[in-house]
Amino acid sequence: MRTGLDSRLVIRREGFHLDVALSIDPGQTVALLGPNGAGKTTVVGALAGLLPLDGGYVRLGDRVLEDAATGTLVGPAERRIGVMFQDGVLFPHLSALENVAFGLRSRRVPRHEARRRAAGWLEAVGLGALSDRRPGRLSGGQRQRVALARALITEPSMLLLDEPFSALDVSSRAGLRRLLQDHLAGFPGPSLLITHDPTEAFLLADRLVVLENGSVAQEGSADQIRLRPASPYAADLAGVNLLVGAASGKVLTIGNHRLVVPEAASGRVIATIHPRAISIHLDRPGGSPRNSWPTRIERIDHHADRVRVQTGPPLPVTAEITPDAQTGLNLAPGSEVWLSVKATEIQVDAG
Amino acid sequence: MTEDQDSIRKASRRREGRSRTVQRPRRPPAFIAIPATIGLALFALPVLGLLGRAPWSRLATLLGSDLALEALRLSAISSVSAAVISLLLGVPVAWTLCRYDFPGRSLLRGLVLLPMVLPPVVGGAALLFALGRRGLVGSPLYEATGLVLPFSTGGVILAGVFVAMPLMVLTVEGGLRSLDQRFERAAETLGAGRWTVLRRVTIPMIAPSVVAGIALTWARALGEFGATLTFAGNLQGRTQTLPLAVFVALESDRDAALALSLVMVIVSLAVLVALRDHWWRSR
Amino acid sequence: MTRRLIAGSLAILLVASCAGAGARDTDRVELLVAAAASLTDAFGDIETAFEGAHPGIDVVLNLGGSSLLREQILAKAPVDAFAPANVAIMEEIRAAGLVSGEAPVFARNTMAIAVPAGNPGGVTGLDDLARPELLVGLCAETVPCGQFTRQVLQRAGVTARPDTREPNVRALLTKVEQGELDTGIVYATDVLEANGAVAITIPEEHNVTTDYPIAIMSATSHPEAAAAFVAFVLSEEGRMLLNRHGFRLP
Repeated sequence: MRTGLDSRLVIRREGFHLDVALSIDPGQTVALLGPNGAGKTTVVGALAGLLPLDGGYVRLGDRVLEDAATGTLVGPAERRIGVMFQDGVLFPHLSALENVAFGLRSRRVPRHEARRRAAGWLEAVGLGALSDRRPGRLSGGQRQRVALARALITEPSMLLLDEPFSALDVSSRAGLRRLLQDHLAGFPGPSLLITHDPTEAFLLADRLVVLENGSVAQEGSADQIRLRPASPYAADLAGVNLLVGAASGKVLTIGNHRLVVPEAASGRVIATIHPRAISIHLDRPGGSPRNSWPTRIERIDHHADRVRVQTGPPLPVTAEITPDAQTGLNLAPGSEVWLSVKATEIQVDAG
Repeated sequence: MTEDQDSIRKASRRREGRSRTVQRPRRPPAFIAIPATIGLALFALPVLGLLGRAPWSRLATLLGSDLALEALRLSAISSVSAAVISLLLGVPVAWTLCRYDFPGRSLLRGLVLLPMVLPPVVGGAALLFALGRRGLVGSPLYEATGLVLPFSTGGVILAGVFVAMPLMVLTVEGGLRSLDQRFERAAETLGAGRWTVLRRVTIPMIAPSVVAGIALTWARALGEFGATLTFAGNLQGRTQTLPLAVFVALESDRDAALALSLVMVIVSLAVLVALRDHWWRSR
Repeated sequence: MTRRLIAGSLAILLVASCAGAGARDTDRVELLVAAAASLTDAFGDIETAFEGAHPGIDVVLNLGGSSLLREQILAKAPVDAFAPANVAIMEEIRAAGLVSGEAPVFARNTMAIAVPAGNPGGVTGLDDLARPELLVGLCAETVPCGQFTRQVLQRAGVTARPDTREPNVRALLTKVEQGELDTGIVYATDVLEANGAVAITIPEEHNVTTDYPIAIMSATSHPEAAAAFVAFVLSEEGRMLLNRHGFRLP
């Protein structure tokens, strides 16, 4: 039986129009990216049944959850869609355990059984010791873990994750991300991750959908978007260099290459470098504490007001420069150049 | 540290204090303190006057009289009933006014608050025109069932509900308005039906407002006089509540009136102080 | 919208208060007369006639249950003249040293049974006040009307079963007029004034006569104006107006 998502969401508000076709295969995770006001949270509301559609439909496997044409409308309580809300939205008057057990209790699972299973889920998200605490006495990361457990315990057919990392600091992000990676890998249904952070999207999602002004600007794999961004926002988003390596102190080793990073770390990490933070030089740049290396240009893509330059080994990255700079440096595929990036421009996340 | 440095630090601290409120000021400035003192005196002096004139030595005897005991019993029954009815009806009213948009909502909202500003005697007369034996609804009610609301304990409770329920509607509506509806939506996505959402999320989360509403309606119903007298009349043991007993006693036995007033002041004050501390401060 | 509504209401209030202030002449002496509720209509006419004859005096009537008025006067309310519905109350005021001069009786009243138009309870006499199925209202025993009622019922040997004891005879009569009460005992003069209530006479042997005294208060700051008002009440014109409202004259 197919349990994938097939939907077309049309919502009209004064001054805002959402029209999005969104399909997700079972077991697949799609990241929905977009600037503020693009309509990301509206998509969550529409799929969860919290915002009625003005047009379109939502189908999950064989079930029609909503169809504006026929008037079919399954309420949020019967959709079996797990939602992890932005900021968690945990019930402040209930303990962590009662929050997680809420979905089971609502489905008439006996109290004792619900609490036993909730305790198991809190264990699974690493919060077994804090089950009696109310949300007010949990950290941001702990709250999101509770929110994840609360969404998953009901064994939903689909999972919606609305900006799960937005309120977290860097250190708790990595932990939650690993947790999400584990659970998404084992989740049989479709998952939708709402985010504005490309790192999270690349790490957690199989496919990216870029939402701008209420419609899909582009969709595809991270590589597809990186190579042919359809809009400045997509270019910004997907053009980001993500490098996986091992950290030891302030030195990061990626393949055979070493980068100096601003803060000490250890173990597997992900380094994020914005293309505009990478400078291109014809000769070895001066100044000592910088990361610089020689390479060869493999490809040049021209966009309206910028030029994207793909480089080859030892550290394949994308750099972005102005058309003037390209003309000035006389760059072409095959050119031998030096790249440099300041240590402070490298963002390091524990992987 | 030299004196100079010290004074500079003080000066900069003072500037800071002005630009953002870092510290709580230790005492209010005169332009706040003087009117505030007058205002507080306006509340405190009548209470002090009552305490000063109270017949302390005869208190037990006075409160043990039939008149006092029956008024106490009746006031307890009718004010608690009025608060409970206000809860059962007022919360749905607040809900409707807060959550649903419909034509005439502003008018209805004003209508609900009307008993708060209307002279209670007018309210009592209006109740009589509506629910009296010859009233709009009271007349067919009487024809059909023989039920007469005026001059009954039920009438006392009804008058209390009429004047006190606006306070319930007002506080609960405020609580609902400040409640982030995402909590209720989260509950829905977890499979909770409307009743479960109400019982396990909405009500617990607006509980402070509901409790405040109960306290205010109860206190208002306890003190209700004008509408009660006009609508329900005055009969010892049936409709003569504490305020009515005080009013009647003022003309015959002033000490008894003072003793009853004292009971009302102390009971009301105790409940209001306890509730303010427990609920309103924690919000 | 709301703001305009508020502004509009404030404007109306302002205009109304200005109009009120304009009509009042600040040079006129303001004479505060406290009078029994049963005198409401008679004293209303007397006020009009008296002010016509004395343009310099503005009579302000404070009408209420006589015992309530007594409490106000004992609490040093600034009353210039006082006309309660019973002599005993006046004597209490005098005992407190608050009466200046004589307190002549200017009117007499008797009690009557009031029933709503059509007499739905079929009331014919005092005995009916004991019928449990009727809604019966009496004056509270703390006001003169209630004390006279008790005397009447005692003389007739009737144990009434009241459903309410109204602290003020006017309130009682209003509820009889509206038909909310089936019957009640009020002053004979009140039923004469009533809208839709009818009097059933109480036999002379059971009835009581009440005396209305009037006196100048010793605390008055307008003794001449107060004296003029008392004189007017006792004058032929005053007696005529009282008589027109059903009061018996001494």
